[in-house]
Amino acid sequence: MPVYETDYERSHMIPDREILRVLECVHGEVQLDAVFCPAPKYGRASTRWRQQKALGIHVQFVGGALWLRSDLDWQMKDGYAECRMVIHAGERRYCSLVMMEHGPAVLSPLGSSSDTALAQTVTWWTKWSGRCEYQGPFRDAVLRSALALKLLNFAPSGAIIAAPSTSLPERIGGNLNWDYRFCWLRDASMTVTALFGLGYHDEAEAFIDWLLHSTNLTQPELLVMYTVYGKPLKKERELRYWSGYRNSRPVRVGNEARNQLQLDVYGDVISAAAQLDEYNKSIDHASADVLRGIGKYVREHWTMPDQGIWEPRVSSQHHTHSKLMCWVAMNKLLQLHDAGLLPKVDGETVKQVRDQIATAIREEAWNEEKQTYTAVFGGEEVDASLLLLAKHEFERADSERMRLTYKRIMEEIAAGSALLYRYRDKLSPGEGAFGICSFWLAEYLALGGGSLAQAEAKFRQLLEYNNDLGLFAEEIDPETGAALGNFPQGFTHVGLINAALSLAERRSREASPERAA
Amino acid sequence: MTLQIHWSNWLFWGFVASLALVSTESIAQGLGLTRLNLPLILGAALTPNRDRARALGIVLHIVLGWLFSLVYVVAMQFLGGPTWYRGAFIGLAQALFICLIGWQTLPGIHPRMASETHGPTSTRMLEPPGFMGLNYGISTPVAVFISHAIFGLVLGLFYR
Repeated sequence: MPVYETDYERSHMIPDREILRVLECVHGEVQLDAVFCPAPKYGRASTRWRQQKALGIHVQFVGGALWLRSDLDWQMKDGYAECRMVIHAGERRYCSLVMMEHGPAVLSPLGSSSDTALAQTVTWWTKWSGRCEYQGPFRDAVLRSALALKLLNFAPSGAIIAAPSTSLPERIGGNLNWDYRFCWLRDASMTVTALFGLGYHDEAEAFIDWLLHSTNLTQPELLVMYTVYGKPLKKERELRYWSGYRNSRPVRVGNEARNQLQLDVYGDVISAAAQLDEYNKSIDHASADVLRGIGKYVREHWTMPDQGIWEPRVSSQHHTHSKLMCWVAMNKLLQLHDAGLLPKVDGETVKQVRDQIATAIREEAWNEEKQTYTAVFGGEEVDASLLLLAKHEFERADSERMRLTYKRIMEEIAAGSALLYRYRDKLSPGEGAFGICSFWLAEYLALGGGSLAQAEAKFRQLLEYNNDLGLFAEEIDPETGAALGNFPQGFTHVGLINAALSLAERRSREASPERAA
Repeated sequence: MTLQIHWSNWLFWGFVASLALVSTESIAQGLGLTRLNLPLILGAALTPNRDRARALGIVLHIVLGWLFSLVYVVAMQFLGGPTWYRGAFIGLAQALFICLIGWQTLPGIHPRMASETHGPTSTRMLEPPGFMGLNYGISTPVAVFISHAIFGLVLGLFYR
């Protein structure tokens, strides 16, 4: 998609949504086969096709229109267009697809205008990449992850979606097929950490702004996920007439987890906003009101059972991770209050609740017999989210309890030397190792759970599971290394960036011990 | 026959009719019946910045509608005096003219609209309406007829 500098956008008429392809044969000749077969409304909308002289192919449907403009030899067929031709060395061909839902479209001229658009786009992305402040040994992987996040960012609102796909299966041929084309509040805190950590302050602030203000339809109660416009999702439905990726049915549109109670999202939102203080940014009055409202909700509801981070479609439980994030919410609220950024908060009450949550976690999430923290209060099994106890500074990474928990995690949910399942459970047998959990493992080691060498070794191993473009899906098949689940997955790339940042921090600490002291 | 115009009535009801026209078009667009956005098309003649074009275009559209309502007032006088059906009839006649002739000639006079014959250029990139405005959606002519009938109807009903 072409992208231009703001000044250029203001002074030129450019399409809202355009995919531009420039094909250049540099040597010999190339047989080119192309098919244009749009299927709006999941293939259910009837389309009206017209070849419009010099304007191109016009496809109209209820709610919008597409214009395909190209100097390829397209042949109109019944409900699609195809092109079969040979291009020779030195030839350049162009394809521009424009979509418009409201208002007249803006049509791109081809040829030199397309070349200019391409050059401007390359310049824009080169400049954007140049703003990445990470200079460690994994710069290529980190930059690729930052680019993936940027591409998941809906610029008009600042929202960042989880993935641009729906129903790519977590288990081939299975039914773990979910729609991820929405914004999960859970991703907020870690995404903001990643963006600030890399120096992308504008994107981080826009995302926080979206978090605090686009969710105002439901505040102080927060939903698990929202559309890019900050609206609640519609009811989930299944496209029964679609066979799904490699016969993995059903293909779903919408996500029924929207109605779950997941208390951890409150901690994520407050933790994301608290990073404004860490980067010396201000919090306006409206945002402060929102944060106070969310804090009050947590104080009144943290004792409730919920569905937790993994969103199982079963009954609620007291998830350790959810309680941890309630503790984070109180802790960050207190931090903002102490910094003078959040007046009108009863600091003493917040502190009391925070300490009550901490006591509950220490007493009820610790299994004395198994010598480990457990995924749910009074439980016996571990899950990967327990590694976040160290990341959120509830426990020191090198504490006895964390070391024992890490040991148990490696015994029970490791999938080879570097990969980690999110849990071992009857709920989803056969699913792959979880991308972000595997990066949490490397990050836990970097935070002090292991040596720098161990952490870097794990991280390097993980990087080998990316595809040829450096991208990760939600999960990884431990046996084949194949990507599973929706793709590319923002959460996995956030995990990669944060692990790399923690590694860089650890490396820098070890390089100058006086800094650590 | 003496042409007599009640200027204050025309000023008021012409303005109201113009608002009704713009609102009806906007509702039709919002409901997804058409992608016709006359404020954008009018404003784009003055500036390539689409946000500014929309804002300028709304003002321009209302003012042009306001002025054009004078033609309706005069026409109704010639047809025997203002009534709702005469107003609506003139509105439908104008809509027919727009659909059959107006849309076809627009690319020739709009400085930023692409031509169907030559395609877009670096300065003329706006999608043309095509025959009957059908490029903007199959219901576009319906939206144009309804909005102009309402415009005439308001004038016919209330202008005296």
